[in-house]
Amino acid sequence: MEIKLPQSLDSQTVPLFERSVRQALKREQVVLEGSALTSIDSAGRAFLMEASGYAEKSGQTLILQSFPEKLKQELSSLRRAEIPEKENTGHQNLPESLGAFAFDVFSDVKTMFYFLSESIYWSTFGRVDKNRLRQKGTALQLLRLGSDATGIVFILIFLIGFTLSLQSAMQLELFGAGIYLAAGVGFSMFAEIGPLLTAIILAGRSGSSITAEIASMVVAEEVKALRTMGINPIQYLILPRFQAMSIAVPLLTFAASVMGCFAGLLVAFFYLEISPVVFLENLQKAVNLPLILKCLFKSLVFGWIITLVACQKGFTVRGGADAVGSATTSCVVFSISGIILADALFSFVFY
Amino acid sequence: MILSVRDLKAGYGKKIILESISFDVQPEEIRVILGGSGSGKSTLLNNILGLERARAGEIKFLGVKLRAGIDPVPNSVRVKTGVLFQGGALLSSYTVSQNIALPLSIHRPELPAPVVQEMVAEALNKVNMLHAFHKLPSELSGGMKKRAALARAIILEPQILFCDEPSAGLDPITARSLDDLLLELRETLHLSVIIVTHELESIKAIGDKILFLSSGKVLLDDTLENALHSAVPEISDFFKRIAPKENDEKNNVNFNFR
Ligand SMILES: Nc1ncnc2c1ncn2[C@@H]1O[C@H](COP(=O)(O)OP(=O)(O)O)[C@@H](O)[C@H]1O
Ligand SMILES: [Mg+2]
Repeated sequence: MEIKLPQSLDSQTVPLFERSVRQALKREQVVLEGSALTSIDSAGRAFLMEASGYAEKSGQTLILQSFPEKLKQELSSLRRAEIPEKENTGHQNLPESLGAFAFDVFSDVKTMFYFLSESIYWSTFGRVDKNRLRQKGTALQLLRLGSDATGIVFILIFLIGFTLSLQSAMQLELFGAGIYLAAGVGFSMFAEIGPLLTAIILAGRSGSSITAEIASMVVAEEVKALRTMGINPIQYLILPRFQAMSIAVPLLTFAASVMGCFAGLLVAFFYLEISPVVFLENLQKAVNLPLILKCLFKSLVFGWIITLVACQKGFTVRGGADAVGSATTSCVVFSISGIILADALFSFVFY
Repeated sequence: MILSVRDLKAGYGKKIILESISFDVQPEEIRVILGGSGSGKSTLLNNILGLERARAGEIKFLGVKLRAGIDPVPNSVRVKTGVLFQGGALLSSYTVSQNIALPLSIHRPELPAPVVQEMVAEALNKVNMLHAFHKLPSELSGGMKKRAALARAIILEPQILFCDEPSAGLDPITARSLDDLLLELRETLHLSVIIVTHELESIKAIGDKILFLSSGKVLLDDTLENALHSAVPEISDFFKRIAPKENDEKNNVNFNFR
C-alpha cells in the first residue's frame, strides 16, 4: 500500500490515515510518500515511531519515500521512549485479599497498643525517665479537642434527650406510668446514650482533626524533621492528645449525660406536668454512683479508642495529599466501628 | 572520624536499594553524594539518620558505634546532627522563630526566653532571614523556607549537617548563596557536611570528596579533583550532564528511507 503524506504531518492529519496504515501493516509493505511533506510535529513523529514499531512486530516493512533531507535527519535522531512494564502489584483473589485485610487490621491494632503503652508509660512512671520531653502541649489540646467541642455535644445530646423523653413520655402516659420517665431517661443517658453519642461526635470532630494534622505532618516530612532534632514524635505529638482526650472525653460525657437528663426534666414538666423536684428525686434513685463510674470508665475507653485510631491512621499515612484525606476517612470509620464494638462488649460485662 | 559507614544495606519492602555502602567522613569535610535520580541517595541519608530501618551494617556516628537498623540513634548524637530536608520541613503551625526555637525549647529548656529569642535572631541573621522572624512557613518562598530550615538545623551548633538536595527548586543565585552559606558555616561552626546535590557548580564550589552511588554500590569514593577526571564512563557521563538513558543506542528507531 502506498500513501501520499500531506504537507504537514500533525495532530490534524495523522488521524486521517493512522488506522489504515496500522491495518495495512498487518498484511503488506507500506510506503509513505513524503515528497510534499514540509513539517512534522510531535503527533507526526509519534505516528511514525508507532508505525515503525508496528511494522517490526508484524514482520512487514515500512518505507518512508522521498522525505526531505532535513526531516530525514530529524527522524534519524529519534529514540523510542520505552514504556516500562507495569509492576506486578499482584491481583488478589478473595481469600488473599481477606487475609491481607486481616493482617492490616492486626498490624494497625498492634501499633495502637504500642502507642497506648507508650502513652501510659510516659504519663505515669516515665515522668522520672531522663528521656522525657518537657512538652507543654496538653493544655492546648484540651482546649482544642475538648472545650471547643462542648457546644456541639450539648446541642445534639439535648435534642436527642428531648426527642427520646417525649417519645417515652407518650408511651408511658398510656399506662399512667409517666412517673417512671426520670428513671428511664437517667439510666439510658448515663449508661448508653451519653457515652456513645459523645464519643461518636468526638470521633467525627476531634479524631478526624488529630489524623488530619498528624498525617499532613508526616507527608510534609515534618515528623522526620522532629526525629532528627531528637524530639520523640510519640511524646511530642501523641502524648498531649492522649492526655487531653483522657480528661476531656469523660468530663464531656458526664456533662452531656446531665444535659440529656435536663431535656427529660423539661419534657416531664411541660408535657407530663411532673414537678422538677419529683423528677429529680426519681432521677437520683436511678442514677447511682456505680452507674456514673461505669459511665466514666466507658467514656475513657472510648476516648482512648478515638485517640489511638486517629494517631495510628495519621502516623502510618504514605503518599501525598490524597492519602491524608483517606487516612481521615478511615480514622472516622474505624473509630466509630471500634466504639460501637466496645460498647457492645461493655453491655455484656456491665449490665 | 565524624561518621563512618560500613556495609550498609537498605531497601523498602522486598526491594533492596543499597547493597553494601561504606565510606568515612572527616571533621570539616564537605562530602557530596552523587548518583542518578533514584539511585538511593535519599535512602542512604534516611538510613544513616535512622529514619528508615536499615537491613544490615554498622555506623559509627560521632564516636558512637551503632548497629544499623537495630540500635536507635541516641539523643546525644541527634542534638549534634543537623538535617536540612528537601522541602525544609518547617512545622507549618509554628512561626519561623518558633520553628527555630523548637530544638532549644526541647533540649535546652533551662534557657530563659530572652536568651532563646536572641539566639534565634542570631541564627536567622546568619541565613539572612531576620525579616521573616514572625512569618509562617506558608508565607515564605522555597528558598526562604530552606534558609529558615538551615537556621533550625544549626541552632544547636551541630558537628555534622546533612542536606538532601538543598538547591533543588531554587534559582541559581539563591543556590549559590546557599553554597556560600554552607562554606561559611563550616568555617564558623567547624561542621562536616554531607550533601546530595546535582548542581555541577555547587559540587565544584563546595565539594571536598565525592561519593558516587550506582546500582546500590559505591562506584567512586574520592576527592573532587579525581572524580572530575575519572575515566569511569558512568561518572564522566554524569559530569557531562548527559543522562545515560537518552544516549542509549538500543532504542534507535530504524526508518527505511528511500
Ligand atoms: N518510601 C518508599 N517506598 C518504596 N520505595 C521507595 C521509597 N522511597 C524511595 N523508594 C525507591 O527507592 C529508590 C531510591 O530512592 P531515593 O533514595 O529517593 O533516590 P534518590 O537518589 O533520587 O534520592 C527509588 O527507586 C525509589 O523508587
Ligand atoms: Mg532524593
